[in-house]
Order: sequence, then C-alpha cells, then structure tokens
Amino acid sequence: MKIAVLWAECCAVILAVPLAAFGAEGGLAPSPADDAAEIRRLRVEINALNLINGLHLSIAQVQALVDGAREMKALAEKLPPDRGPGKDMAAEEAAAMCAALEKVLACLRKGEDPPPALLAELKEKTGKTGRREATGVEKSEYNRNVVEIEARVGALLSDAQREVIEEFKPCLVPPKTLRDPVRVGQVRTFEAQEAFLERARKIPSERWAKLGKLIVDKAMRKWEEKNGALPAKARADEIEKAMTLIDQARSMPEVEFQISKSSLAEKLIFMDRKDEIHKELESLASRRDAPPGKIARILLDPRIIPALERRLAIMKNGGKDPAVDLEDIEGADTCKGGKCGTPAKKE
Amino acid sequence: MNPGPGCAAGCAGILGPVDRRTFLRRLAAIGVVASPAVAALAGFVRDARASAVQWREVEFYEKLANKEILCHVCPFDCHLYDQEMCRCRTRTNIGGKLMTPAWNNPCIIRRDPVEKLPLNHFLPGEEQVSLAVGGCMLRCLYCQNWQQSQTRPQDLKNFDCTSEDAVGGVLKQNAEGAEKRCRTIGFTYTEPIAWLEYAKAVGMHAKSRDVKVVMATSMFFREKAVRDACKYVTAFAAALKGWGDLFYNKVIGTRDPKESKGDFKSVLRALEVVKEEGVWMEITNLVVPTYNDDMSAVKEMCAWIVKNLGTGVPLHFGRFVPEFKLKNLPRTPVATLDEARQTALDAGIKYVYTSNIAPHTGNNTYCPRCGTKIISRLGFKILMNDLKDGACPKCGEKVPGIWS
Repeated sequence: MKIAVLWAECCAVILAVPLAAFGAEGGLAPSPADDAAEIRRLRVEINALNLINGLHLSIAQVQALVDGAREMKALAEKLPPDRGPGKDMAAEEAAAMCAALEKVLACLRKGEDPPPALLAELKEKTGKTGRREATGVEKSEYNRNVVEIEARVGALLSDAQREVIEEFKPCLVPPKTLRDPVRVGQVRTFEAQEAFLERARKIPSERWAKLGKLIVDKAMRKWEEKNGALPAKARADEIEKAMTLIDQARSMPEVEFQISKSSLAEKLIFMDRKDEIHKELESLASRRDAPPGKIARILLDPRIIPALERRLAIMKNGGKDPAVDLEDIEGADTCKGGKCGTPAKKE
Repeated sequence: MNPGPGCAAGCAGILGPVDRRTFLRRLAAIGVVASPAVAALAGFVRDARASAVQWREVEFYEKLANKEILCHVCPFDCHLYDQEMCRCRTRTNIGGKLMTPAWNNPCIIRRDPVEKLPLNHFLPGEEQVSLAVGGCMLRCLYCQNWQQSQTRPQDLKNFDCTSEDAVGGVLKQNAEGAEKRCRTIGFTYTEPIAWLEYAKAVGMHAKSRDVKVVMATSMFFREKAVRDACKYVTAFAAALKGWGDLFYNKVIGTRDPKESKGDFKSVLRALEVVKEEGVWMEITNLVVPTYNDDMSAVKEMCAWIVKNLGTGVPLHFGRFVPEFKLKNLPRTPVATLDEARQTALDAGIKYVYTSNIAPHTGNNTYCPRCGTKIISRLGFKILMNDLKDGACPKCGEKVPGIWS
C-alpha cells in the first residue's frame, strides 16, 4: 500500500516538473522579466483607473487626456531608448541609488534622522538618476514640454477634479473615498481612533493611571511598524500629546464626548514619518524645471492610452461597451494550467 | 454495544448512564429549579431597560371613547386602541393617553457638515450637531439608515441626552481655537416627525440660547404640526421623494392611493405651509433608477415647485446608492442626474444641485444672473466661497439663504 502511494507521488513529481516549465498553451512559461513588466503595466493602469473612476470626466475631458497621453508618448519616443516614462534606469545607476537608499533606510529603521552627509550623497545620486529622465538639454526640454501638456489638460478639469487629483495617493486597492465615488469629498472619518478613544474611556481611573502610558506606547509601536520609527524626542512628544487628548476625552460627559469625538480622533493621528521624509527628499531632489505633476504622471502616462481610448469609446456609445461581444470574449477558465478536467470538445 | 437513547448516551459523562425517561425527568427538575432565577434575570433586564425609557405625553392627538385615540401628527392619523402603537413605532396608547418613549434618548449624536443634510444655502462650511432617535412612520425601500429608523427607540443603544445637554454641547464646540464653527443642531438620520416631541424640546431650548435648528424631514406632517415646527426650526431640508401617490405608496410606504385621504397631497401642503411661514427650506429629491427617473415626472415636479414655492428654493437631486430593500438596483447614472438638473434649470429653478456625487458641476453654487461660480464645493467640502454679503461678487444678485 505504502509503496503504491510513494510510486504515485513520484509519478506526479516527474510529470509536474516538465508541465510547470511549459505554459497552458504548451509554449515556454513567461520569463520573470516579462512578468515584472506586465505587473508594472497593470499597476499603472489600475492606479490610473482608480483615479479616473472618481473623477466623473466628461467626453471632452477624456478626449483631452487621450490626446495629451499621445503627445507624451511622442515626446518619450524622442528620448534615448533607456529613458523616459516606464523605462528602467541603467543597471549600475540603479545599484548606486539602491545602495544610497539602503543607508537612509537603515537610519530610519532605527528611528534616527539620516545624517546630512548621507542626504548629500543621496541628493547627488538622485540628481544623476532620480527621475528616470534624460539629462541636460534633453531633460530640460522634455520636462518643459510635459509641464506644458499637463497645464493644457489641467485647464480643462474643474477645480474640484483637480482637488481630487491632488489628494489622490497612488494605489492598487483604492481608498474608501475613491472606491465608492459617493464618498469623494465627504467628511473624513477616523473610525479606528474613535474606537480607541471609546475603549480608553471605559478603562477605570486606577487602571488607566497604571497602564495608560503603556497602552499608548503599544499603539505607537504598532503605528511605527507601519509608518516608520520616530526619533526619540518626536516620539515622546507624540505620546505626551496623545495622553493629553485621551485624558481630555476621559473627563468629558458622554454627550460632549459624542459630539467632540470626531475632532479629538482627528488630532489623535500620530506623526506620519513616511510622509515627512518623503517631503524632505522631494525638497532635496535637484531640479532645474518645475516637475511634472500628478496629472502628467498618472493620467497622461502613455501606457494607459488603450484604457483611455476604451473609456472614450464607451462614453461615446452612451455608456455601453462597444467592445463587448459574447462571441468574441475568451470564456472564463478557472483552472488554467491546472489539473481539473476539461469539457469535451464539440466534434 | 447498544449506545442507548442518543441524548442519554451523550450526557452519560455528566449525569451517568440514564434512560430517556430519567433524562427528561431530570431536565424537568432542573427547569423547575432554574425558572425563578431565569425569570428574575429577565425581569431585571426588562426593568433596567424600562427604567431608561422616559414616557412623555404627545401633543397632537384626539381622545375617543373607550380609551381609543386618533393621532394627528402625520397624515396616517393612526386610530389606536389601548396599548396599541402608531406606525412610527414611537407613539403608544397607554390607558387612553398617547405617550412616546422617544424622549431624551437619541441613538445618534455626532458632528456633521451642514452640507450633509443637504443644505447648500445655510452657513456654508460650518458644522452641526446631529441628533437622531429611533423610529419612522415611512417604509422607504431605499432607507439609508434603516437600522435606526425601522425600529423602536427602546430597542437601540441610546445616550441620555436632555435638551439642555444637547444645546450645551453645541455651545461648548465654539471655544477659542475651534477649527470650524458649530452653532446649529440638526435633526437628521431618522425621521424627526416620529420623535417630534423631543425635537421640539431641543429646538425651543436651542432657540432660547441662540442656537440654530435644522431639520431633515420627509414633510409627512399634518398642517398643525408643521406650523408648530416652524416656530423653532431655522431651516428645513425637505424631501420631495418622488412625484405622485403611486410612487409614495409603492416605494415610500404610504397608503394605497385608492384608500388614502391624499398622502402625497399632504406632503405638498406641508411644503406650502413652510413657505407661508417664511422658514428657509431646500428640497431634496433622490433619483432612483427606473422608479422616479422619468423626466416627464421631474418636469411636472419642477413646474409645481416654481408655481407654489418660487424659483429661489434650492433643489437637490441626490444620487441613489443601493441600500436596504433596493440592493438590486444600480447607482443612478450621472447622465440621469445631469438630465434632471437641466430639466429643473429649464423649468426656471435658479439653484439646482446634485448631491451624493463628487466632483460634479452640480455641487457648486452659480449666480443665476451672470453665471459666476460663487461657491465651489467638492461634496461637503467648500473649496472657495466668494459670496459677498449674501450676494454675487460680480453682479450683486442677491442669493437667498441663511449666510450668517
């Protein structure tokens, strides 16, 4: 019995290895480099569509985006082959940049500020390679043209749409405000902080006096795991600020607390170290021209031209997708390359 | 090998091996011993809940013979025998007196932007303290707050909040350094008509302390009750949920048009009364796909508004979001909202908005004379407010509303 099982397992392994090397269609499996490029393209498209879905663009606006993205594509094609949006930087440049970033990261992990010498080194590296754009005259002209296209397209957007773009953070899973367009522009909620305050209010005074600081410290540690460690002084200040807020919440009568809890919760957000550092680095990066904004980076990326064209066609067709024809689409196959049975082919 | 009767076998570890009869006898004995304790516990829970509920006599009702009652708060005019409850799940006939448990027990207390009601011509950018008590006499299929509205106040987790507490809470929000002004109490989330007595107490107290009061309501009032509410309400966010008795009957839950004494007409009459009383009002109409998105009905509704309420009353077309019993429908298409907005503008209504959708042109306030954008909004957020002394900064056209 045992020998039979062992034999079956061996057969499965022997068969599985060559099968895995070939794709479902029987060809070679895509290389990791192809996968990475495809993932990058998908990321760009998903990110852009997350934003576009929350903007309620008109036909004219989508048309302007398509035209703008095409112009960007033409501009990018004039650049040297390894530069421009979506192109990878040269291997040695990337390695140098990674080394500099690793050093900054090591400092940040310890909760320390990166020393000025290190930041200067990073500045030098980013100055050379940072924006994946051409250098010298090419870079300057490319940037100028991009900013010009962006300004032209941006002028067609309403101030509310520009506000949404400004607040947008690149994402694969959209935040509530964009996942549900109804919520765009609505009041921000701080549910986690409100719940924290509610729980803190329920702790008896004696217990709070003993454990309060420990509880806040633990919450701070969790925050730091996600958002980066804070320097010791800033950390102590943040804990002190949180303790004052919680004490204030604890001393309030129930009705007053219910009314004030959203504003208290809003203040209970700890300092976002990632954001701070990002702003610092942005200010350090050397640029001769105004950098391209989010409209250019997200909505005018040449890689989303097919998605924009498709959107435009749907809008022009009164909301119906002209490309959808059940005869044409590939049927759902939930076990592509898997071991489940396939339906019998029609003779 | 026979394991014996199933349950007895299962309980063998605790009670020892027993036959079915012994097991049932023991179970009955446990029940007899435990029942007083269970009864005491249930009584304690009931008493605890009952003690939290304060019953208050209702204002608008008529006593009939044999302890019967006719409620006159809303057009349903519920006829109640002793111990019977109105459709709103609050007012109850207790020994010939109409009493309500919706007193000092809101289930929602929170700060919200006034734009959420929606009110776009009322202290833009300020906040309000929203209050809600459980209960509602309507049965809207798309209710967004059905967890609170479609139940009795006693069945919810409530806060103890007297009118003094609520008004005091608002006044405390305006301490020095406060980021946003908050000088308004709003009755919203559920239907304030279901808890009109508490709303009145809070409203009257607020008025005496110079705190403004806004009410988001279906306007399903009897005339006398609306006139009374106008004494303390500063602004109404009045819902005209659709056009016609059939829509109100099928989707909102009013009576069959054949039997009703004009439920839909009562809503229209309540709107006229608010106009007569000179209280500020903005009308909201939730556009539900396939239910009330027929543009001929929208046109008829707009014509009625222009004729009876005037062209200066702001009208908000809300985007429907699948909720409660209408989860099967999609969100209102943006094109439908655009069409409804254009229909209202063509009918002559000067301020037409779209809500529940942002960014959208319909979020902004434009001058009806020169077309200048006066207030720019992103949903509830004010991006720019150029209003000067309640008028257009360019041509000086007065924009109606409560601006200070």
